[in-house]
Amino acid sequence: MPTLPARLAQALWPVYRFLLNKWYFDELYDFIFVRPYAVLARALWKGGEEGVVEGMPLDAVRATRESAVQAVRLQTGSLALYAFSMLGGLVVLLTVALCG
Amino acid sequence: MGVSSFNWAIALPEIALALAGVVILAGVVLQPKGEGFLPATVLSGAALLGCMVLVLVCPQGHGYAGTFVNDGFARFMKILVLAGALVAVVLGAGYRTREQRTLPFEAPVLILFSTLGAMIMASSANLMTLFVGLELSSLSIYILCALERDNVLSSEAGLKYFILGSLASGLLLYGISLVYGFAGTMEYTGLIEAVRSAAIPPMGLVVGIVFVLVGLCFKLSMVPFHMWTPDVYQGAPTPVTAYMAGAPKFAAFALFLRVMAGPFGAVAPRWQILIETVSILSMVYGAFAAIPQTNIKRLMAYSSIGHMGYALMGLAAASMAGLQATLVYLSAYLIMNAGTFGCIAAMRRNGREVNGIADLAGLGKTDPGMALALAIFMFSMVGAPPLAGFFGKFLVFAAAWQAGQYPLVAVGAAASIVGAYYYLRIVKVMYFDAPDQALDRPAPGLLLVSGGMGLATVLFIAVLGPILSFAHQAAIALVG
Repeated sequence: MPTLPARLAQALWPVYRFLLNKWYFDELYDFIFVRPYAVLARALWKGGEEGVVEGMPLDAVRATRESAVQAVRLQTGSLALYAFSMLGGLVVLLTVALCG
Repeated sequence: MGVSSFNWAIALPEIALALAGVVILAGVVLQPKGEGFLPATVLSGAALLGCMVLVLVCPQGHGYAGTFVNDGFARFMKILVLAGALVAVVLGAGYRTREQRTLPFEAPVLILFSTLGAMIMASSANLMTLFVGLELSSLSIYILCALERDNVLSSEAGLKYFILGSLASGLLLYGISLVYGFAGTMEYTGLIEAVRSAAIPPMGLVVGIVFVLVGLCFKLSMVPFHMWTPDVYQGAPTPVTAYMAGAPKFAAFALFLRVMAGPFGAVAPRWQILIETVSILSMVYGAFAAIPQTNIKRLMAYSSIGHMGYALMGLAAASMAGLQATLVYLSAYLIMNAGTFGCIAAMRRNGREVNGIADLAGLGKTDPGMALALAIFMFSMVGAPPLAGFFGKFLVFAAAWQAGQYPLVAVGAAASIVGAYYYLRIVKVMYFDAPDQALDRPAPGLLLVSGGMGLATVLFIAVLGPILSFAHQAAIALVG
């Protein structure tokens, strides 16, 4: 009765499909575990690793460069400003010494 | 110790140097115009060398009615000051102005007098001696800065330094008068007793100490009293800049250590926080502000601001180890700083001085010897082992760590990393950038300075033991 399996398969088509696809185990596994992890890994790779970890030194460099430029802008060459900054420093140190 | 005895022999080096200065000046003035520079340079150099010998053999003790002291600490500082001045005189010999002339013959003599002031500062046992030494040293430097009268930058440097220096001197004097008003004496020994006898330091004394501290901070170019430094360093003739970055800084440090660890040592918790603050500010500002610089003399100005911050870390620790570390740091700084300025003075193209960092491009190919020396100094300034700068930095960090100054150590380490960028950039420019037109062949005196200091930087580890014990004795003389 070589036609019996075919008939059986036809009669119980959904069950046959279910069994043929190994209970859809691979799809289920892919859906529950593989995909979310892939999404998470991708987010960590692009956002965390390339964005934050690799970006941190770059941000530090940018911050360093910008603050360096700002620091030099204090140096205007104006004698009045120089003297004023000295007196300002004196006041700050006095405050720290008397209150600190 | 006979405080009131008139023990003239302890000031023998100072007396000899003063006499030598006067004799050289008188002798050279009689020379025909334009021919005095070389004899003045040679004689001043010889006088400085002879004075170094005198410092080593001169007896120790108190004298001049308690205004003057010669101890292990003074001796250490005087040797540093004299060595710095000698290097500057040698650099000055090879220097030519924009008009291809030598500096005026007064230059070496003025360096000599300024050194005399610096030595008196190192030996002061009285706030008045301190001030007299400081002014003798500073007045000579004001003139030295403006020595190239035809160069507007040089005149500007002299004027700026003079005006701001007067302000700083005024603050210092005001502080001294406040301290005198509180303690009734200006002698350090008297001040120590007065400070120790009071349970709580009175407000007037604290204000006085802060004013004195500010006056000294100005000389050391500590932030926020540093503003004059870049402009003056850039404008002054290179040998003068080399001198300013060395001897007067050591003298100011000598004062700082002597005054703060001595008379005001009992109220250390009061000023420690101030020293910490200016030290942190100087390290950070020195590191950051140097990054965009294109002129190497200006870069060295910021570098010196940073280095003074590191050296002050030792004092902020307020311990014996800290004092010793500061002294070793200064010795290492003397060597690498002198060497760097030897290289900067050698930067001439077609007979004209060039100061841009870009002018060093390709030096590794056109002049491998000088490039190697400059690279050694830069690595030493970064603090790379086993060069001189490493030991200084290591000791001050260790002292600050042991004293529990963890924030200071952390900021110092971070500033050190930022600072490494601009030092290493010079190495990169020398070795990896395309060569420009080659620099002129440097004068033999400059080769001697940069070569000798390069060797000293590399071999510092060999003499570390003696320097450490010398510094230890100096620290004991100061505190014990």
